[in-house]
Amino acid sequence: MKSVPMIKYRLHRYFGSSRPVIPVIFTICFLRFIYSVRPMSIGTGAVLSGIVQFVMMTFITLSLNGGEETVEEQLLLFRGKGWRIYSIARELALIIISKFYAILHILGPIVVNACNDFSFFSTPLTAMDVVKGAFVVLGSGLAGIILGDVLHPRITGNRRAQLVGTVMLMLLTIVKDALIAKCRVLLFLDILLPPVMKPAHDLGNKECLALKPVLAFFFMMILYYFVVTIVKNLVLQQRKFS
Amino acid sequence: MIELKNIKKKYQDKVIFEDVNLTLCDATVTALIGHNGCGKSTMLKVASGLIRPDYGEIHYEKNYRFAYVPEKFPAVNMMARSYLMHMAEIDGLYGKTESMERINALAEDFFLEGMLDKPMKNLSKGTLQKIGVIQAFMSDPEVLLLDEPLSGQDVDSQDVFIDKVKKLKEQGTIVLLSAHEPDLIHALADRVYTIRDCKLIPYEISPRTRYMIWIAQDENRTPGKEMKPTDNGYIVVADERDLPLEIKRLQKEGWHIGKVYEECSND
Repeated sequence: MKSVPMIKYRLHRYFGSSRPVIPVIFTICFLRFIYSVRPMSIGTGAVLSGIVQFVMMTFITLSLNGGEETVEEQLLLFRGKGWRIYSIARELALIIISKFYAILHILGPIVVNACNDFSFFSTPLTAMDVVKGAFVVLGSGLAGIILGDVLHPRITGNRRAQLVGTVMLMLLTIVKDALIAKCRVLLFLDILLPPVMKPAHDLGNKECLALKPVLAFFFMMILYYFVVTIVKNLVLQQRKFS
Repeated sequence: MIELKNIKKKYQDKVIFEDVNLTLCDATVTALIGHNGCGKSTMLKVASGLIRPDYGEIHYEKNYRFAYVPEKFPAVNMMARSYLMHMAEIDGLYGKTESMERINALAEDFFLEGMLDKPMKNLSKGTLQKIGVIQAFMSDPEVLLLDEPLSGQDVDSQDVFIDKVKKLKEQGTIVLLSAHEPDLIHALADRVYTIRDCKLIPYEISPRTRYMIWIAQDENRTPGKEMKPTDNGYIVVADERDLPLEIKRLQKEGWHIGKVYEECSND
């Protein structure tokens, strides 16, 4: 199974560089900031963490694909003996990186709650709440990977266009519900862009996280991720390194 | 065997090459020469499937294990040894210990002892290029793509490189080489092509000047097979590339070299 050592190599490349420093500091600062006022609802914490994870993974993926060394990628492609292993390893490495930041978001409320006599939140934080919160953060991370990678430089052929396009898509993803409410013509955005703000509608300000909307969001994100990722990789394979 | 049929490649509106028909056979070194920007590297990438041609098709006899020595090897942000170990692990051909031994042996062959434990960012261009060569050789490739592989490498390493490519060729490896160095082409290439007016055409390389080394007879020494007896001495023939090494070797063996002259001259 060539993809496992290829994932290890990609993770070594990422975590061995200075790239994670700013996202880690940013995540810690964010967690310190949102968990500074008590009491707080569990739903709000999970929703905010999800949005931050989405934005951060968009930028992390954007910086990773922008920094890809063509020759290095070509050598990995040869070693994978084709696009399948190469693409799978690349996607899984991104998912693992997303999980790393998700763990920080998951640990944040647990640590804060423990430091505040287990009474930081307006209702007691249960293990199930943590698991449900993790689904929200992981799902949002997948959305970030999708947006950060969908305009890959080998698809757009232009780094500047990729940067501008990705930031536009990210902002549209966050504000699309408000836009659609104002102008129904923009309803197509609801299908094109990932439903990152869905947990904000379903769970925001809720004292505890309901399982059904959390799982619905998570599986929706997985489905969305698979569809977009397959299409993206087919386009990348078609375009090769031209 | 890799067959390229009626290949055409263009960038924007400029045609790089067209109507390219080329067969890359097992155990054959095919060389591409030509001025910078004529499309040699593009041809290499098209043949290997890294770049899609605009027209034509490429037929691979099987799913080959490719290795590629790029013109400029990237300085990855890790130790050279670590990079090579990762690549060996991805190849999955050998265990960890054997991979380490192979890497060490190749590093020794290319005079890189002590360099493997340095960050690749701190290595010189030539050393980095050698890492590129090692990562390609350690995977026992079935197809070897060499894109100006000798850039920045010292002469001794170039000789090692040529030996290694010859060995791979003997094992049946398909080698596609893009180079400027006539020595490299002379030493390795079975077939040479160039790209002219967007067409791939066979290229005749001028034969190398050959030299004759006259060695005085020495009754205390036994002549080697390559030493042809003449009046009061022996003659050793060497081409211009091997001449300095041959002279050095004969002197080291204790022979007295009388004179050196071009094979066709009457001097």
